Amino acid sequence: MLAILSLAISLAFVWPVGIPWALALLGVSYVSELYANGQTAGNWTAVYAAGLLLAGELAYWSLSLRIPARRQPTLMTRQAAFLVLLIAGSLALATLLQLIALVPINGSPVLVLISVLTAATALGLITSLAWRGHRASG
Amino acid sequence: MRDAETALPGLRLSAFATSKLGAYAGLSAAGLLCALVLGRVEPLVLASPFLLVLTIGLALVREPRLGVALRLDRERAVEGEEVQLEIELRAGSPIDTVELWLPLPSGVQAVDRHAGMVLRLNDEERRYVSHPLRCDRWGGYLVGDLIVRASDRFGLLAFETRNSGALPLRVYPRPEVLHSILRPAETQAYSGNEVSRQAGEGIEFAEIREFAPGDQVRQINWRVSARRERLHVNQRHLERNTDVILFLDTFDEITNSRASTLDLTFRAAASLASRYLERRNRVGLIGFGGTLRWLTPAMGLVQLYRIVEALLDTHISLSYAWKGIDVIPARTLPPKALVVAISPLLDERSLNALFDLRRRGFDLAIIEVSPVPFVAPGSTEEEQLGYRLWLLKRDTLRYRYQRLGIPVAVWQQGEPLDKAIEEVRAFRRYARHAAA
Repeated sequence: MLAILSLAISLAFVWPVGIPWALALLGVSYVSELYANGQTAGNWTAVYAAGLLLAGELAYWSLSLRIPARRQPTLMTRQAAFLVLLIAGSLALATLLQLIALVPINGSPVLVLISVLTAATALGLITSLAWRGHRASG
Repeated sequence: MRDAETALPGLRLSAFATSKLGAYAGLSAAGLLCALVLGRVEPLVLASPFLLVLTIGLALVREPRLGVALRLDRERAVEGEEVQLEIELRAGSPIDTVELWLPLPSGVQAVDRHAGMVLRLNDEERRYVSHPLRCDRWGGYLVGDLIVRASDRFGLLAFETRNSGALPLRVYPRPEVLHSILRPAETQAYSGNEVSRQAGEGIEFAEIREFAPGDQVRQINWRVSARRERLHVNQRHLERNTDVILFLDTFDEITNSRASTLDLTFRAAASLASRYLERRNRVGLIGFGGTLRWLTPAMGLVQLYRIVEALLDTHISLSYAWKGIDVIPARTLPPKALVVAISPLLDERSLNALFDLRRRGFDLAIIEVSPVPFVAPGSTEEEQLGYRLWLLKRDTLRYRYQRLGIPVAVWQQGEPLDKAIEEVRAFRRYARHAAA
Protein backbone atom coordinates (compact mmCIF):
# COMPACT_ATOMS: atom_id res chain seq x y z
CA MET A 1 0.00 0.00 0.00
CA LEU A 2 2.86 2.32 0.95
CA ALA A 3 4.60 1.46 -2.30
CA ILE A 4 1.56 2.27 -4.36
CA LEU A 5 1.10 5.50 -2.45
CA SER A 6 4.73 6.46 -3.08
CA LEU A 7 4.39 5.70 -6.78
CA ALA A 8 1.14 7.64 -7.03
CA ILE A 9 2.65 10.68 -5.33
CA SER A 10 5.70 10.50 -7.60
CA LEU A 11 3.55 10.49 -10.71
CA ALA A 12 1.08 13.07 -9.49
CA PHE A 13 3.67 15.62 -8.40
CA VAL A 14 6.41 14.74 -10.93
CA TRP A 15 8.72 13.63 -8.15
CA PRO A 16 11.27 11.10 -9.50
CA VAL A 17 12.76 10.43 -6.07
CA GLY A 18 9.68 8.49 -5.00
CA ILE A 19 9.95 5.88 -7.77
CA PRO A 20 12.93 3.84 -6.45
CA TRP A 21 11.37 3.87 -2.98
CA ALA A 22 8.15 2.47 -4.41
CA LEU A 23 10.05 -0.27 -6.26
CA ALA A 24 12.15 -1.08 -3.20
CA LEU A 25 9.06 -1.34 -1.03
CA LEU A 26 7.42 -3.68 -3.55
CA GLY A 27 10.53 -5.86 -3.57
CA VAL A 28 10.72 -5.91 0.21
CA SER A 29 7.07 -6.83 0.51
CA TYR A 30 7.52 -9.74 -1.91
CA VAL A 31 10.57 -11.11 -0.11
CA SER A 32 8.87 -10.64 3.27
CA GLU A 33 5.88 -12.58 2.04
CA LEU A 34 8.11 -15.41 0.91
CA TYR A 35 9.83 -15.42 4.28
CA ALA A 36 6.56 -15.35 6.12
CA ASN A 37 5.23 -18.30 4.16
CA GLY A 38 8.48 -20.20 4.49
CA GLN A 39 8.80 -20.41 0.72
CA THR A 40 11.89 -20.38 -1.42
CA ALA A 41 12.09 -18.53 -4.76
CA GLY A 42 8.85 -19.38 -6.45
CA ASN A 43 8.10 -19.63 -10.13
CA TRP A 44 6.97 -16.05 -10.16
CA THR A 45 10.07 -14.34 -8.77
CA ALA A 46 11.54 -13.75 -12.23
CA VAL A 47 8.22 -12.44 -13.48
CA TYR A 48 7.94 -10.19 -10.43
CA ALA A 49 11.45 -8.88 -11.12
CA ALA A 50 10.59 -8.10 -14.73
CA GLY A 51 7.40 -6.49 -13.49
CA LEU A 52 9.38 -4.22 -11.16
CA LEU A 53 11.56 -3.09 -14.02
CA LEU A 54 8.49 -2.52 -16.18
CA ALA A 55 6.89 -0.43 -13.44
CA GLY A 56 10.06 1.62 -13.08
CA GLU A 57 10.48 2.19 -16.81
CA LEU A 58 6.85 3.12 -17.29
CA ALA A 59 6.99 5.50 -14.33
CA TYR A 60 10.04 7.35 -15.66
CA TRP A 61 8.59 7.37 -19.16
CA SER A 62 5.33 8.87 -17.94
CA LEU A 63 7.21 11.60 -16.09
CA SER A 64 9.07 12.51 -19.25
CA LEU A 65 5.80 12.70 -21.17
CA ARG A 66 4.35 15.19 -18.68
CA ILE A 67 6.51 17.96 -20.07
CA PRO A 68 4.65 19.76 -22.87
CA ALA A 69 6.66 19.33 -26.04
CA ARG A 70 6.07 18.38 -29.63
CA ARG A 71 7.24 14.81 -30.10
CA GLN A 72 8.33 13.01 -33.21
CA PRO A 73 5.52 10.51 -33.90
CA THR A 74 7.80 7.48 -34.24
CA LEU A 75 9.46 8.04 -30.87
CA MET A 76 6.62 6.49 -28.89
CA THR A 77 6.59 3.36 -31.04
CA ARG A 78 10.34 2.92 -30.82
CA GLN A 79 10.32 3.43 -27.06
CA ALA A 80 7.52 0.89 -26.61
CA ALA A 81 9.36 -1.66 -28.77
CA PHE A 82 12.57 -1.10 -26.82
CA LEU A 83 10.70 -1.56 -23.56
CA VAL A 84 9.30 -4.88 -24.72
CA LEU A 85 12.81 -6.08 -25.60
CA LEU A 86 14.20 -4.85 -22.32
CA ILE A 87 11.53 -6.61 -20.28
CA ALA A 88 12.01 -9.80 -22.27
CA GLY A 89 15.77 -9.64 -21.67
CA SER A 90 15.38 -8.96 -17.96
CA LEU A 91 12.85 -11.78 -17.65
CA ALA A 92 15.33 -14.12 -19.31
CA LEU A 93 18.15 -13.04 -17.01
CA ALA A 94 16.01 -13.32 -13.88
CA THR A 95 14.79 -16.75 -14.93
CA LEU A 96 18.36 -17.86 -15.55
CA LEU A 97 19.42 -16.72 -12.10
CA GLN A 98 16.46 -18.48 -10.58
CA LEU A 99 17.32 -21.70 -12.38
CA ILE A 100 20.93 -21.49 -11.23
CA ALA A 101 19.69 -21.02 -7.70
CA LEU A 102 17.64 -24.21 -7.97
CA VAL A 103 20.70 -26.33 -8.77
CA PRO A 104 21.30 -28.48 -5.65
CA ILE A 105 24.81 -27.63 -4.63
CA ASN A 106 25.78 -28.24 -1.02
CA GLY A 107 27.23 -25.25 0.67
CA SER A 108 30.96 -25.28 1.20
CA PRO A 109 33.43 -22.65 2.28
CA VAL A 110 34.78 -22.51 -1.25
CA LEU A 111 31.35 -22.02 -2.67
CA VAL A 112 30.57 -19.33 -0.11
CA LEU A 113 33.84 -17.61 -0.96
CA ILE A 114 33.02 -17.73 -4.66
CA SER A 115 29.57 -16.30 -3.94
CA VAL A 116 30.99 -13.50 -1.86
CA LEU A 117 33.61 -12.73 -4.50
CA THR A 118 30.95 -12.74 -7.23
CA ALA A 119 28.73 -10.43 -5.23
CA ALA A 120 31.65 -8.15 -4.44
CA THR A 121 32.64 -8.08 -8.10
CA ALA A 122 29.10 -7.23 -9.05
CA LEU A 123 29.01 -4.47 -6.45
CA GLY A 124 32.33 -3.20 -7.67
CA LEU A 125 31.03 -3.20 -11.23
CA ILE A 126 27.99 -1.24 -10.22
CA THR A 127 30.10 1.22 -8.29
CA SER A 128 32.54 1.73 -11.14
CA LEU A 129 29.77 2.19 -13.63
CA ALA A 130 28.00 4.63 -11.36
CA TRP A 131 31.29 6.43 -10.73
CA ARG A 132 31.84 6.63 -14.46
CA GLY A 133 28.42 8.16 -14.76
CA HIS A 134 29.24 10.60 -11.96
CA ARG A 135 32.54 11.59 -13.60
CA ALA A 136 30.84 12.08 -16.92
CA SER A 137 28.51 14.50 -15.22
CA GLY A 138 31.48 16.48 -13.92
CA MET B 1 18.38 29.36 -47.57
CA ARG B 2 19.85 26.02 -46.65
CA ASP B 3 23.41 25.19 -47.49
CA ALA B 4 23.84 21.44 -47.30
CA GLU B 5 27.60 21.71 -47.27
CA THR B 6 27.92 24.07 -44.35
CA ALA B 7 29.37 22.46 -41.23
CA LEU B 8 27.36 23.47 -38.23
CA PRO B 9 29.17 24.64 -35.13
CA GLY B 10 29.44 21.64 -32.80
CA LEU B 11 27.91 21.94 -29.37
CA ARG B 12 29.91 21.37 -26.22
CA LEU B 13 27.66 19.17 -24.16
CA SER B 14 27.92 18.64 -20.42
CA ALA B 15 26.98 15.19 -19.19
CA PHE B 16 25.00 14.58 -16.05
CA ALA B 17 23.54 11.52 -14.41
CA THR B 18 19.79 11.32 -14.39
CA SER B 19 17.81 10.38 -11.32
CA LYS B 20 17.13 7.03 -12.97
CA LEU B 21 20.84 6.11 -12.84
CA GLY B 22 21.00 6.75 -9.12
CA ALA B 23 17.74 4.90 -8.53
CA TYR B 24 18.73 1.79 -10.47
CA ALA B 25 22.21 1.73 -8.94
CA GLY B 26 20.68 1.98 -5.50
CA LEU B 27 18.16 -0.77 -6.16
CA SER B 28 20.84 -3.07 -7.61
CA ALA B 29 23.17 -2.51 -4.69
CA ALA B 30 20.35 -3.00 -2.19
CA GLY B 31 19.30 -6.25 -3.85
CA LEU B 32 22.85 -7.62 -3.88
CA LEU B 33 23.49 -6.68 -0.26
CA CYS B 34 20.22 -8.21 0.87
CA ALA B 35 21.00 -11.40 -1.01
CA LEU B 36 24.40 -11.59 0.71
CA VAL B 37 23.12 -10.76 4.16
CA LEU B 38 20.02 -12.95 4.07
CA GLY B 39 21.65 -15.71 2.13
CA ARG B 40 18.71 -15.89 -0.25
CA VAL B 41 18.60 -15.58 -3.97
CA GLU B 42 15.25 -13.73 -4.26
CA PRO B 43 16.62 -10.21 -3.67
CA LEU B 44 19.30 -10.87 -6.29
CA VAL B 45 16.70 -12.07 -8.80
CA LEU B 46 14.56 -8.99 -8.11
CA ALA B 47 17.56 -6.68 -8.56
CA SER B 48 18.93 -8.39 -11.67
CA PRO B 49 16.85 -6.45 -14.24
CA PHE B 50 18.09 -3.14 -12.84
CA LEU B 51 21.63 -4.45 -12.86
CA LEU B 52 21.16 -5.47 -16.49
CA VAL B 53 19.94 -1.99 -17.46
CA LEU B 54 22.85 -0.35 -15.65
CA THR B 55 25.47 -2.60 -17.15
CA ILE B 56 24.29 -2.39 -20.73
CA GLY B 57 23.24 1.26 -20.56
CA LEU B 58 26.48 2.62 -19.15
CA ALA B 59 28.62 0.35 -21.31
CA LEU B 60 26.97 1.56 -24.50
CA VAL B 61 26.68 5.27 -23.72
CA ARG B 62 28.71 7.63 -25.90
CA GLU B 63 28.90 11.39 -25.92
CA PRO B 64 26.70 12.59 -28.79
CA ARG B 65 28.07 14.86 -31.49
CA LEU B 66 25.60 17.49 -32.48
CA GLY B 67 25.65 20.78 -34.36
CA VAL B 68 22.93 23.42 -34.19
CA ALA B 69 22.15 26.57 -36.16
CA LEU B 70 19.18 28.89 -35.81
CA ARG B 71 17.67 31.30 -38.27
CA LEU B 72 14.69 33.64 -38.34
CA ASP B 73 12.86 34.04 -41.62
CA ARG B 74 12.77 37.81 -41.08
CA GLU B 75 14.03 40.37 -38.62
CA ARG B 76 11.04 42.69 -38.63
CA ALA B 77 7.40 42.02 -37.96
CA VAL B 78 4.28 43.86 -36.84
CA GLU B 79 2.41 43.01 -33.63
CA GLY B 80 0.28 39.92 -34.04
CA GLU B 81 2.27 38.51 -36.97
CA GLU B 82 4.09 35.21 -36.96
CA VAL B 83 7.72 34.59 -37.75
CA GLN B 84 9.39 31.24 -38.36
CA LEU B 85 12.37 30.19 -36.29
CA GLU B 86 14.20 27.47 -38.16
CA ILE B 87 16.46 25.17 -36.21
CA GLU B 88 18.98 23.16 -38.18
CA LEU B 89 20.40 20.07 -36.46
CA ARG B 90 23.26 17.96 -37.67
CA ALA B 91 24.07 14.73 -35.85
CA GLY B 92 27.60 13.35 -35.98
CA SER B 93 26.40 10.17 -34.29
CA PRO B 94 23.02 8.50 -33.76
CA ILE B 95 21.15 10.14 -30.91
CA ASP B 96 18.11 8.38 -29.49
CA THR B 97 16.47 11.39 -27.93
CA VAL B 98 17.17 15.07 -28.56
CA GLU B 99 15.16 17.58 -26.60
CA LEU B 100 15.09 21.18 -27.72
CA TRP B 101 13.79 23.84 -25.32
CA LEU B 102 13.30 27.41 -26.41
CA PRO B 103 13.10 30.00 -23.66
CA LEU B 104 11.45 32.96 -25.35
CA PRO B 105 11.42 36.58 -24.20
CA SER B 106 8.21 37.94 -22.80
CA GLY B 107 6.27 39.39 -25.73
CA VAL B 108 7.05 36.53 -28.09
CA GLN B 109 5.54 33.11 -27.72
CA ALA B 110 5.35 29.82 -29.56
CA VAL B 111 2.24 29.48 -31.68
CA ASP B 112 1.53 25.91 -30.56
CA ARG B 113 2.26 26.79 -26.91
CA HIS B 114 4.73 23.93 -26.61
CA ALA B 115 7.89 24.74 -24.73
CA GLY B 116 10.02 22.39 -26.80
CA MET B 117 10.46 19.49 -29.18
CA VAL B 118 11.63 15.92 -28.77
CA LEU B 119 13.02 14.00 -31.72
CA ARG B 120 15.47 11.35 -32.76
CA LEU B 121 18.45 11.78 -35.06
CA ASN B 122 20.21 9.13 -37.08
CA ASP B 123 23.91 9.12 -37.78
CA GLU B 124 24.94 12.04 -40.02
CA GLU B 125 21.34 13.17 -40.29
CA ARG B 126 20.58 16.82 -40.97
CA ARG B 127 17.15 17.89 -39.74
CA TYR B 128 15.31 21.17 -40.13
CA VAL B 129 12.72 22.00 -37.51
CA SER B 130 10.43 24.95 -37.94
CA HIS B 131 9.09 26.63 -34.84
CA PRO B 132 6.48 29.33 -35.53
CA LEU B 133 6.55 32.27 -33.13
CA ARG B 134 3.88 34.89 -32.61
CA CYS B 135 4.88 38.47 -31.86
CA ASP B 136 2.45 39.50 -29.16
CA ARG B 137 3.95 42.82 -28.17
CA TRP B 138 6.04 45.44 -29.92
CA GLY B 139 9.64 45.79 -28.92
CA GLY B 140 13.18 44.74 -29.73
CA TYR B 141 13.98 41.14 -28.82
CA LEU B 142 16.87 38.74 -28.99
CA VAL B 143 15.62 35.30 -29.93
CA GLY B 144 17.58 32.12 -30.21
CA ASP B 145 18.27 30.91 -26.70
CA LEU B 146 18.19 27.16 -27.01
CA ILE B 147 18.60 24.39 -24.46
CA VAL B 148 19.63 21.10 -26.04
CA ARG B 149 19.49 17.85 -24.12
CA ALA B 150 20.50 14.53 -25.65
CA SER B 151 20.06 11.20 -23.93
CA ASP B 152 20.53 7.56 -24.77
CA ARG B 153 17.88 4.89 -25.03
CA PHE B 154 18.23 3.83 -21.41
CA GLY B 155 17.91 7.34 -20.01
CA LEU B 156 20.76 6.96 -17.55
CA LEU B 157 22.97 9.80 -18.71
CA ALA B 158 21.95 13.06 -20.35
CA PHE B 159 24.08 15.58 -22.21
CA GLU B 160 22.99 19.16 -22.09
CA THR B 161 24.07 22.58 -23.27
CA ARG B 162 22.61 26.03 -23.58
CA ASN B 163 23.06 27.92 -26.81
CA SER B 164 22.74 31.68 -26.28
CA GLY B 165 21.07 33.01 -29.34
CA ALA B 166 21.34 36.54 -30.58
CA LEU B 167 18.88 36.72 -33.44
CA PRO B 168 17.43 40.23 -33.42
CA LEU B 169 13.71 40.51 -33.88
CA ARG B 170 12.09 43.91 -34.03
CA VAL B 171 8.33 43.94 -33.59
CA TYR B 172 6.67 47.14 -34.64
CA PRO B 173 3.49 48.41 -32.95
CA ARG B 174 0.37 47.87 -34.98
CA PRO B 175 -0.81 51.40 -35.75
CA GLU B 176 -4.38 52.33 -35.07
CA VAL B 177 -6.54 53.35 -37.97
CA LEU B 178 -7.09 57.08 -37.69
CA HIS B 179 -9.98 58.61 -39.59
CA SER B 180 -8.95 62.16 -38.84
CA ILE B 181 -5.88 63.97 -37.64
CA LEU B 182 -5.12 67.36 -36.18
CA ARG B 183 -4.83 70.08 -38.74
CA PRO B 184 -2.01 72.49 -38.09
CA ALA B 185 -2.52 76.19 -37.42
CA GLU B 186 0.30 77.03 -39.84
CA THR B 187 1.67 75.25 -42.87
CA GLN B 188 5.11 75.20 -44.40
CA ALA B 189 6.26 76.29 -47.81
CA TYR B 190 6.41 72.87 -49.42
CA SER B 191 3.67 71.12 -51.28
CA GLY B 192 1.60 68.69 -49.29
CA ASN B 193 -1.92 67.54 -48.44
CA GLU B 194 -2.77 70.12 -45.79
CA VAL B 195 -5.02 73.01 -46.71
CA SER B 196 -3.21 76.27 -46.10
CA ARG B 197 -4.86 79.53 -45.13
CA GLN B 198 -3.11 81.22 -48.01
CA ALA B 199 -4.95 81.51 -51.26
CA GLY B 200 -3.51 80.39 -54.56
CA GLU B 201 -3.50 77.28 -56.73
CA GLY B 202 -5.26 74.45 -54.98
CA ILE B 203 -8.41 72.37 -54.77
CA GLU B 204 -10.36 73.71 -51.84
CA PHE B 205 -12.29 76.91 -52.54
CA ALA B 206 -11.17 79.95 -50.55
CA GLU B 207 -12.74 83.17 -51.88
CA ILE B 208 -13.66 85.27 -54.93
CA ARG B 209 -11.81 88.49 -55.72
CA GLU B 210 -11.46 90.88 -58.57
CA PHE B 211 -9.27 89.99 -61.51
CA ALA B 212 -5.73 91.31 -61.25
CA PRO B 213 -3.04 91.30 -63.93
CA GLY B 214 -1.28 87.95 -63.90
CA ASP B 215 -4.32 85.91 -62.98
CA GLN B 216 -5.01 82.84 -65.10
CA VAL B 217 -7.99 82.97 -67.45
CA ARG B 218 -9.19 79.59 -66.24
CA GLN B 219 -9.58 81.04 -62.75
CA ILE B 220 -12.22 83.50 -63.91
CA ASN B 221 -15.63 82.96 -62.34
CA TRP B 222 -17.81 83.88 -65.32
CA ARG B 223 -21.09 83.86 -63.46
CA VAL B 224 -19.96 86.34 -60.82
CA SER B 225 -18.15 88.39 -63.45
CA ALA B 226 -21.36 88.65 -65.49
CA ARG B 227 -23.38 89.64 -62.45
CA ARG B 228 -20.92 92.27 -61.31
CA GLU B 229 -19.91 93.39 -64.79
CA ARG B 230 -16.23 93.14 -63.80
CA LEU B 231 -13.93 90.17 -64.04
CA HIS B 232 -13.65 88.09 -60.85
CA VAL B 233 -11.51 85.04 -60.18
CA ASN B 234 -11.84 82.07 -57.84
CA GLN B 235 -9.18 81.73 -55.23
CA ARG B 236 -8.36 78.37 -53.68
CA HIS B 237 -6.44 77.38 -50.60
CA LEU B 238 -2.91 76.29 -51.22
CA GLU B 239 -2.01 72.76 -50.31
CA ARG B 240 1.05 72.68 -48.25
CA ASN B 241 2.71 70.34 -45.91
CA THR B 242 3.37 70.91 -42.27
CA ASP B 243 5.88 70.02 -39.63
CA VAL B 244 4.57 67.80 -36.87
CA ILE B 245 6.63 67.06 -33.81
CA LEU B 246 5.61 64.14 -31.62
CA PHE B 247 6.64 65.01 -28.09
CA LEU B 248 6.73 61.86 -25.97
CA ASP B 249 6.98 62.01 -22.21
CA THR B 250 9.24 59.13 -21.22
CA PHE B 251 10.00 60.18 -17.64
CA ASP B 252 7.48 57.87 -16.06
CA GLU B 253 5.68 54.66 -16.79
CA ILE B 254 2.79 53.11 -14.91
CA THR B 255 2.10 49.48 -15.65
CA ASN B 256 -0.25 46.68 -14.86
CA SER B 257 -0.03 43.05 -15.92
CA ARG B 258 -1.31 43.73 -19.41
CA ALA B 259 -0.06 47.11 -20.55
CA SER B 260 1.58 50.34 -19.54
CA THR B 261 1.28 54.04 -20.22
CA LEU B 262 4.47 53.78 -22.29
CA ASP B 263 2.84 51.10 -24.47
CA LEU B 264 -0.05 53.42 -25.19
CA THR B 265 2.27 56.38 -25.77
CA PHE B 266 4.28 54.51 -28.37
CA ARG B 267 1.23 53.08 -30.04
CA ALA B 268 -0.27 56.56 -30.40
CA ALA B 269 3.05 57.95 -31.65
CA ALA B 270 3.40 55.22 -34.29
CA SER B 271 -0.20 55.73 -35.47
CA LEU B 272 0.12 59.50 -35.71
CA ALA B 273 3.52 59.36 -37.39
CA SER B 274 2.23 56.91 -39.97
CA ARG B 275 -0.81 59.04 -40.74
CA TYR B 276 1.02 62.37 -40.97
CA LEU B 277 3.79 60.94 -43.12
CA GLU B 278 1.19 59.47 -45.49
CA ARG B 279 -0.02 63.03 -46.07
CA ARG B 280 3.46 64.19 -47.10
CA ASN B 281 4.12 66.06 -43.90
CA ARG B 282 7.42 66.19 -42.12
CA VAL B 283 7.38 64.41 -38.79
CA GLY B 284 9.93 64.65 -36.03
CA LEU B 285 10.20 62.98 -32.67
CA ILE B 286 11.29 64.08 -29.22
CA GLY B 287 11.55 61.50 -26.45
CA PHE B 288 11.65 63.78 -23.41
CA GLY B 289 12.69 61.75 -20.42
CA GLY B 290 15.63 60.54 -18.40
CA THR B 291 17.41 60.08 -21.71
CA LEU B 292 16.65 62.70 -24.32
CA ARG B 293 16.16 61.33 -27.83
CA TRP B 294 15.18 63.23 -30.91
CA LEU B 295 14.70 62.91 -34.63
CA THR B 296 14.69 65.98 -36.80
CA PRO B 297 11.59 66.29 -38.98
CA ALA B 298 11.71 64.53 -42.32
CA MET B 299 9.32 63.00 -44.82
CA GLY B 300 8.69 59.63 -46.32
CA LEU B 301 8.69 55.95 -45.47
CA VAL B 302 12.30 56.01 -44.31
CA GLN B 303 11.38 58.54 -41.65
CA LEU B 304 8.56 56.28 -40.49
CA TYR B 305 11.03 53.44 -40.04
CA ARG B 306 13.40 55.76 -38.21
CA ILE B 307 10.63 56.88 -35.86
CA VAL B 308 9.47 53.34 -35.13
CA GLU B 309 13.04 52.14 -34.58
CA ALA B 310 13.59 55.05 -32.20
CA LEU B 311 10.43 54.06 -30.33
CA LEU B 312 11.62 50.47 -30.01
CA ASP B 313 14.91 51.66 -28.56
CA THR B 314 13.31 54.02 -26.08
CA HIS B 315 12.81 52.91 -22.55
CA ILE B 316 12.30 54.49 -19.19
CA SER B 317 15.51 55.51 -17.49
CA LEU B 318 15.19 57.01 -14.06
CA SER B 319 16.65 60.45 -13.70
CA TYR B 320 16.17 63.17 -11.13
CA ALA B 321 18.03 65.81 -13.12
CA TRP B 322 15.98 68.84 -13.98
CA LYS B 323 15.31 69.27 -17.68
CA GLY B 324 13.74 72.06 -19.62
CA ILE B 325 13.08 72.42 -23.30
CA ASP B 326 16.38 74.32 -23.65
CA VAL B 327 18.08 70.95 -23.92
CA ILE B 328 16.15 70.19 -27.11
CA PRO B 329 18.11 71.11 -30.25
CA ALA B 330 16.54 74.02 -32.08
CA ARG B 331 16.33 72.22 -35.42
CA THR B 332 14.12 69.56 -33.81
CA LEU B 333 11.48 72.20 -33.03
CA PRO B 334 11.07 74.20 -36.24
CA PRO B 335 8.91 77.32 -36.03
CA LYS B 336 5.24 76.95 -36.98
CA ALA B 337 5.41 73.23 -36.19
CA LEU B 338 2.43 71.46 -34.72
CA VAL B 339 3.57 69.81 -31.51
CA VAL B 340 1.50 66.82 -30.43
CA ALA B 341 2.46 65.86 -26.89
CA ILE B 342 1.63 62.35 -25.70
CA SER B 343 2.07 62.19 -21.97
CA PRO B 344 0.59 60.72 -18.80
CA LEU B 345 1.08 64.19 -17.23
CA LEU B 346 2.84 62.87 -14.17
CA ASP B 347 6.32 64.33 -14.10
CA GLU B 348 6.82 68.00 -13.19
CA ARG B 349 9.53 68.36 -15.79
CA SER B 350 7.22 67.31 -18.61
CA LEU B 351 4.42 69.52 -17.33
CA ASN B 352 6.67 72.56 -17.24
CA ALA B 353 8.15 71.76 -20.63
CA LEU B 354 4.68 71.79 -22.15
CA PHE B 355 3.90 75.16 -20.57
CA ASP B 356 7.21 76.44 -21.90
CA LEU B 357 6.42 75.25 -25.40
CA ARG B 358 3.16 77.13 -25.32
CA ARG B 359 4.78 80.30 -24.05
CA ARG B 360 7.25 80.13 -26.93
CA GLY B 361 4.35 80.19 -29.33
CA PHE B 362 4.28 76.62 -30.53
CA ASP B 363 1.00 75.18 -31.74
CA LEU B 364 0.53 72.55 -29.06
CA ALA B 365 -2.00 69.80 -28.44
CA ILE B 366 -1.82 67.23 -25.66
CA ILE B 367 -3.06 63.66 -25.72
CA GLU B 368 -3.11 62.57 -22.12
CA VAL B 369 -2.40 58.86 -21.77
CA SER B 370 -4.50 58.34 -18.70
CA PRO B 371 -2.71 56.57 -15.85
CA VAL B 372 -6.00 56.33 -13.92
CA PRO B 373 -6.88 52.76 -15.09
CA PHE B 374 -3.47 51.60 -13.90
CA VAL B 375 -3.92 52.92 -10.37
CA ALA B 376 -6.16 51.26 -7.78
CA PRO B 377 -8.17 53.59 -5.51
CA GLY B 378 -6.92 51.82 -2.41
CA SER B 379 -8.72 50.03 0.36
CA THR B 380 -8.43 52.39 3.31
CA GLU B 381 -10.30 55.64 3.65
CA GLU B 382 -7.06 57.66 3.54
CA GLU B 383 -5.98 55.91 0.34
CA GLN B 384 -9.31 56.57 -1.31
CA LEU B 385 -9.20 60.20 -0.22
CA GLY B 386 -5.71 60.51 -1.64
CA TYR B 387 -6.91 58.95 -4.88
CA ARG B 388 -9.77 61.43 -5.19
CA LEU B 389 -7.43 64.34 -4.47
CA TRP B 390 -5.09 63.06 -7.14
CA LEU B 391 -7.94 62.96 -9.67
CA LEU B 392 -8.90 66.52 -8.74
CA LYS B 393 -5.33 67.65 -9.15
CA ARG B 394 -5.26 66.15 -12.63
CA ASP B 395 -8.49 67.94 -13.54
CA THR B 396 -6.96 71.21 -12.35
CA LEU B 397 -3.88 70.64 -14.43
CA ARG B 398 -5.96 69.99 -17.51
CA TYR B 399 -7.89 73.20 -16.87
CA ARG B 400 -4.65 75.18 -16.60
CA TYR B 401 -3.57 73.95 -20.00
CA GLN B 402 -6.94 74.64 -21.56
CA ARG B 403 -6.92 78.18 -20.16
CA LEU B 404 -3.76 78.75 -22.21
CA GLY B 405 -5.50 77.44 -25.31
CA ILE B 406 -3.84 74.03 -25.19
CA PRO B 407 -6.33 71.28 -25.94
CA VAL B 408 -6.00 68.24 -23.69
CA ALA B 409 -7.80 65.02 -24.58
CA VAL B 410 -7.78 62.03 -22.27
CA TRP B 411 -7.11 58.69 -23.92
CA GLN B 412 -7.54 55.45 -22.01
CA GLN B 413 -6.63 51.92 -22.86
CA GLY B 414 -9.42 50.27 -24.80
CA GLU B 415 -10.66 53.48 -26.38
CA PRO B 416 -9.97 54.35 -30.01
CA LEU B 417 -7.37 57.07 -30.53
CA ASP B 418 -9.81 58.70 -32.92
CA LYS B 419 -11.89 59.77 -29.94
CA ALA B 420 -9.04 61.71 -28.37
CA ILE B 421 -8.11 63.26 -31.73
CA GLU B 422 -11.67 64.36 -32.28
CA GLU B 423 -11.81 65.96 -28.83
CA VAL B 424 -8.71 67.98 -29.61
CA ARG B 425 -10.12 69.00 -32.99
CA ALA B 426 -13.37 70.10 -31.37
CA PHE B 427 -11.49 72.18 -28.79
CA ARG B 428 -9.40 73.87 -31.48
CA ARG B 429 -12.47 74.57 -33.60
CA TYR B 430 -14.19 76.13 -30.61
CA ALA B 431 -11.10 78.11 -29.70
CA ARG B 432 -10.83 79.48 -33.25
CA HIS B 433 -14.47 80.52 -33.28
CA ALA B 434 -14.16 82.06 -29.84
CA ALA B 435 -11.08 83.99 -30.95
CA ALA B 436 -12.86 85.12 -34.11
